[in-house]
Amino acid sequence: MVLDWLPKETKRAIESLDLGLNVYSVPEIDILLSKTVLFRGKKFRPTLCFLMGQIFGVELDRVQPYARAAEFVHAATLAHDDVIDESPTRRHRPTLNARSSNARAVLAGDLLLARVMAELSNLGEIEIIADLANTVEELVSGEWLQLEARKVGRVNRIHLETVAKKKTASLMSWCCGTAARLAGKDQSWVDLARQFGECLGIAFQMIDDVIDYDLKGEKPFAQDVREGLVNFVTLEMLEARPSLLEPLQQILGAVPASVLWPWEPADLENAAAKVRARADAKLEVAGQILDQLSQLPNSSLESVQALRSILVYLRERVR
Amino acid sequence: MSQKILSLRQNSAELRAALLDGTLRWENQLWSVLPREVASHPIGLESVIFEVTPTSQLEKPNTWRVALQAIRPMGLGLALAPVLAVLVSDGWSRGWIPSHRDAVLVIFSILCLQLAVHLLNDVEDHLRLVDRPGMVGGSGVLQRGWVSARVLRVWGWAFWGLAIALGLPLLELGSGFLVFLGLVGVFGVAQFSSGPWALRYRAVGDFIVFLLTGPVLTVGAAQAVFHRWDLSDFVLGFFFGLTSWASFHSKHLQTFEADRQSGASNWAIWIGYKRSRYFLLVLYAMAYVSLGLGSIWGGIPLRVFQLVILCVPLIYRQVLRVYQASGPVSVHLCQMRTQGLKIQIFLSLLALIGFFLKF
Repeated sequence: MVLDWLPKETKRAIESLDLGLNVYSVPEIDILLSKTVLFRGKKFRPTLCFLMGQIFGVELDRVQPYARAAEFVHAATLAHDDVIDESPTRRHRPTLNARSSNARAVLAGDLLLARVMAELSNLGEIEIIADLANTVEELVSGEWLQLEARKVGRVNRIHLETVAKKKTASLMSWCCGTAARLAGKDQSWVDLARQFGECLGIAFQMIDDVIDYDLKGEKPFAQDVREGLVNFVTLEMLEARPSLLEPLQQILGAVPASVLWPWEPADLENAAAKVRARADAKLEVAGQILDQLSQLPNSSLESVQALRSILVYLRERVR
Repeated sequence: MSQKILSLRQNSAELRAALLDGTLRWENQLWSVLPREVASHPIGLESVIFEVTPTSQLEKPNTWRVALQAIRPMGLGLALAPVLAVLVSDGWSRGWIPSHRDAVLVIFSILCLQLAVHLLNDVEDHLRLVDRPGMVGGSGVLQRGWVSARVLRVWGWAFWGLAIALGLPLLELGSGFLVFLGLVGVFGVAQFSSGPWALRYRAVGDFIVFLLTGPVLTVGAAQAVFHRWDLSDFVLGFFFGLTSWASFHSKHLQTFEADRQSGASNWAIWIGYKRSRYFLLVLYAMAYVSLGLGSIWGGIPLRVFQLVILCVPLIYRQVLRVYQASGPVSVHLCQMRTQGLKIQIFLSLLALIGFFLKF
C-alpha cells in the first residue's frame, strides 16, 4: 500500500491527523460524519500536503491544518456526491444519506466546508484561502458538467478531461500548491506544484476508469455506464467503433439485470490499454515536474522518493 | 499492442523529425510516435511526451480510406458550393454565356485550393501540437499515425501548386481585377495555416474564411467564367461567406476550451464564450437578411430565399444546443462541428436547387 512508502514523520503526521469536528450545537453531525465520509479514508490528499510540504522544506505542524482542510473538503464532496448519485453505500458501509436523509447529508457537507473556512481564516493565509475557494468552485463546476452529461453518449475528450481536472485533480492541485505557498515561493513554483497535482489527479481518474471495467474490482462492473456516464475507456471504445453508440445509448443509466454488453472483449482490452497509455503520459509529466522539485535546496529526498512511489503505484494499479 | 512513453525535448531536431515523420528509431526498432502531452513550464519543463508503438503493430486502413479521410470531403462544400451557385445562377438561371473551359478550370482550381487548405491545416495543427490524438479537430489521419505530416505537407503544397497551374489560364491580359482576386485567394490559402502570418491562429482568420469562401470567391468565379460580375454575385458571396463563417464558428464553440488552453486565437476566443453564443445567431440571421435583400434588390430569384428557409429548423436546433450548454465544455456542444457542416451542405443544396428551378 502507498502508506508503506512514506517517511516516518509523514506517516506519524497522517496517523495523528485529527478529523474531529466537535460541533457544540449539533453533536449528531460529528457522529454521522465519523461513521461515513470521515471513516477510514485513505487520506491521500493530506498525504500529498505533507509530502509536498517536506519537499518545499515546510514543517509538518504548519502543513497540518491544511491537510485537515483538504480531507474535510474531500469528505464534503463525497457527502454531496452520494446525494446526487443516490448511492446507498460507500466503502461497503451505508452512506450518510442512507443512514440519515438527503437533507442531512447536504447540511453535513456544508458544515464541513464552513468549518474549513473558519479554521483557515484564523491562520490568515489569504492566498491559500482564495485558492481553496477557487478549488471548491472547480469541484462544483466539475460535478455540474458531469451531471449534464448523464445519459449522453456523445461526449468528447476535452469534456472528460475538464471534468477530471475539476472534480478529481483540482483538490490535489491545491494540496500541492499550498505547500509552495507556505514555503513563500513565487507564483511560478506554486504553478509548477499545482501542475504536479493536476497531472496526478487526471491520471488517477483515468486509472479509475480502467478499473471500473475490472470484473474482479470492488465496484460492480461498468458502474459508470450504470450511472449513465461515459468514461475515458468507454470513449475510446466509441472512437474505435462508432457503431457502439446506439446500443450504448440504450443502456446508459438503465442497465437491465441480464445485460448483453454491446462491446467485444477485444474492444474493451484495447480501449483500456490506450487509456493506461494516456495516464502514463500524464504521469511522465508529473515525474518530470518531480525532477525539478527535487532540486529545491531544502527538499526531503525521502518525500521525493515517496511521491515517485505513488506515481509507480498508479502506473501499476490494477484494482 | 505494446505501447511505451517517450519524452523528447521541445525545439529539438529529434522532436521536429518525430512530428514530421511520425516515426522514430529507438532501441533498434522503428516506432510510430504520436504526441500525447506537452510538459511546459518556465522552471525547467520543456518536453513533449509521445506514445510509441512498434510500427509493425500499428493497424492502418487502406490508402484510399486514409486519403478520403484526409481530404475531409464534408468540408469541400465550403468552397465548391459558392462556385457552383454562381455558375448555376449566372449561367443557367440568367442565361449568361459561360466559357466552359474556364468553368471547369475554376471548379478544379478551387477544389485544389480547398484540398490544400485541409491538408496544410492538419499538418500545421499537428506540428504546433494543437491537434493531438483524441482532440477534436483535423481529419484524424495524423493523430492515428496513418500517414506522416511530411507526406501530407507535400500533397498539400502539390494541390496548392496545381490550383495555381489550373488558375493561370484564367488570367486574361489586362484583367488586373481577376489577377488581384486570384492572388488574394492563393496568398490567403498559403498563409491560412502556414507561413509567418498563419492567419488561422489569429482572430482575423475567421474573417479570412468569410472573404475567401464568400465575396472573393463568387465575384472571382463570375469574372473568370463569364468575364463579368454584378451585385447578385456579390450578395451570393455574402450569403455563402456568412454561412461558412457560421460553420467555422460552430466548430470554435465546440473547441473553445481546447483552443483557450492551447493559446489559440480566433474570433470566438476574442469575443468570449457568452458573446460567441449570440454571434452564431447573428451570423445566420445576417446570411438570411443578405439573401432576402438580394432577392428584393440584388437579382437573386425569390424562390432561392424561399427554399433556404427550409433550413431554419436545423439552424434553430444548432443555436438551441448552444443555449442549452452550461458552458464551453458542455456535452451539448460535442456535435457543433458536424452539425455546422451539415447545415452548410443543406443550405448550399437548397440554394442550388433554387437556382435550377425555373418557375
